[in-house]
Amino acid sequence: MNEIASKILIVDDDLLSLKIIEKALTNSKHVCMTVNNSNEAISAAKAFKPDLFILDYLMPGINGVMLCRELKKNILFKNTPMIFITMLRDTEQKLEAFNAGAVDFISKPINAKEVGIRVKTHLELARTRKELEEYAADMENLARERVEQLIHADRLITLGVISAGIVHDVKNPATFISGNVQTIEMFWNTLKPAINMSGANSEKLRFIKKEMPSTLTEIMDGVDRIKGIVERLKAFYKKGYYEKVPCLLSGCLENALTLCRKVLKDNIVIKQELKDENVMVIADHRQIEQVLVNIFLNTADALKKNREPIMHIRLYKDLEYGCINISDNGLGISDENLKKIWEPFFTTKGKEDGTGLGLFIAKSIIEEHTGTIMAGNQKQGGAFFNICLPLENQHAKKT
Amino acid sequence: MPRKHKKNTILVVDDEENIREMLRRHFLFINYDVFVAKNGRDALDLMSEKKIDIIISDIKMPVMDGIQLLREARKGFPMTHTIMITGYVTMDNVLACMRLGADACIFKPMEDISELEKAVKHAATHIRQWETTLKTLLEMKPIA
Repeated sequence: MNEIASKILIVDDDLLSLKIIEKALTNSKHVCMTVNNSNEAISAAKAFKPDLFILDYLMPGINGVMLCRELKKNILFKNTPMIFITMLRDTEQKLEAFNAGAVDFISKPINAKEVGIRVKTHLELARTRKELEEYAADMENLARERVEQLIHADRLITLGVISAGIVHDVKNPATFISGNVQTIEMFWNTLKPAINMSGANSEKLRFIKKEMPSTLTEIMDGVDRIKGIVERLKAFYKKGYYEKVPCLLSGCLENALTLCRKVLKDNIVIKQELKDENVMVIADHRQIEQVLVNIFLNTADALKKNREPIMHIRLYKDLEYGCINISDNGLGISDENLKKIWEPFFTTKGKEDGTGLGLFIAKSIIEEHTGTIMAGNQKQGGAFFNICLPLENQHAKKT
Repeated sequence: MPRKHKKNTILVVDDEENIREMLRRHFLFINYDVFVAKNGRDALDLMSEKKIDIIISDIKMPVMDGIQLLREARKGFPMTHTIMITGYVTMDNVLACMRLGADACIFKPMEDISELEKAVKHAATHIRQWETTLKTLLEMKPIA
């Protein structure tokens, strides 16, 4: 059972006793060290780190009990069994020894077999105790893990409840925003000819006439996106229906960039490498745009303090997948965070700025599309996100 | 010579002011008379004073909800059309609307308000046809 030999330290001023005990115990299972005076015993013990002590009771200077007490002060030997050699039948002294931490006695004259058996018993006891302590520690860790899992599950349920609330609360605002936008479109159709007829023609008026339709359209796109997010949140409390159809990946990219235009601002240089412009994937374009928007927003945030921020976007085909790789020249993601970013409620932003749900939702969306999403750090610095979605014809083959 | 139609009247019922305002503004602009109420009870009170052709109503409202309003309107004002708009997309709601004879049930958030416009127009046309029939009947000479 025990492959590692147990170490035994024997302290006795009587050299003959030392020899007898050492001879009785030395075998394949034990390694013995002998010390013939108690002064050297403590330093010997610290160096040797025995699994069991055999201490003579009667020793000049520091006697066995004092030595035992001294050793027990050291955390190393708190639970190490200490067996006393004594020829005293004095119960008082035995009690004193027990109080000091002794676990057993070997009486003189020393019987080799008796020594062997007692040592074996106490070593086993000590080992069992150690195993019990380790088991208790493992159980504590397991309990801690379970608690964390429960908290996680509870958070998901809470997320479901919150999602249901958000979905409900957002419906009215989304309704009257889009309704009002359509009313404005009607108003504009009346105003525009009136402006034209009035002959008023300032630069500002020309600008308004030019920008009005796209401004209104973009509001509607925003509402669409909100509705898309709402649809996605529904996944947390009921199965939703998603329209996965062949869609142009570069189209999703363009839409997402348009939606983020203001956030990405003018100072971020965007380099696009569209190796395969016509890549068609099977996806719900609104959800993919939502994922891309989320990554763009994270990237913009990571590049906030960068003097020459660059975002690199690559679109390419990889076997059965259409892929988008978005990388930046920011500080990258720490190893510690790389695993956590996908978790719900994880955010490095302040509580007001980050819900911590973006990447969690993004991962759910991509996995629901039987695609893959991953993040990492580039060799040249900066972080990257890689998204792959099933190609159109491949999907057709599978179904 | 085209006859000038009397405007059809719409009653918008929703507990959210912004929804009432949005719908009121929109339908006023496309030539309807619009009244508003914030729940079923207020709606019925208003209907006892003014002739309402079409009701656009939410379902979930305090005091009296849309389904209850629909039921009462069926009884007291059988000629009034009702279009339900709701955020509570449940089978129960939709079936109740169907059984109580609502013209349509539209879900929030609305993709496009033109869906609602169409439903209102459809109801207005229906009403106008009946009005024409009644008018024709009144103009017919009695059979000697």
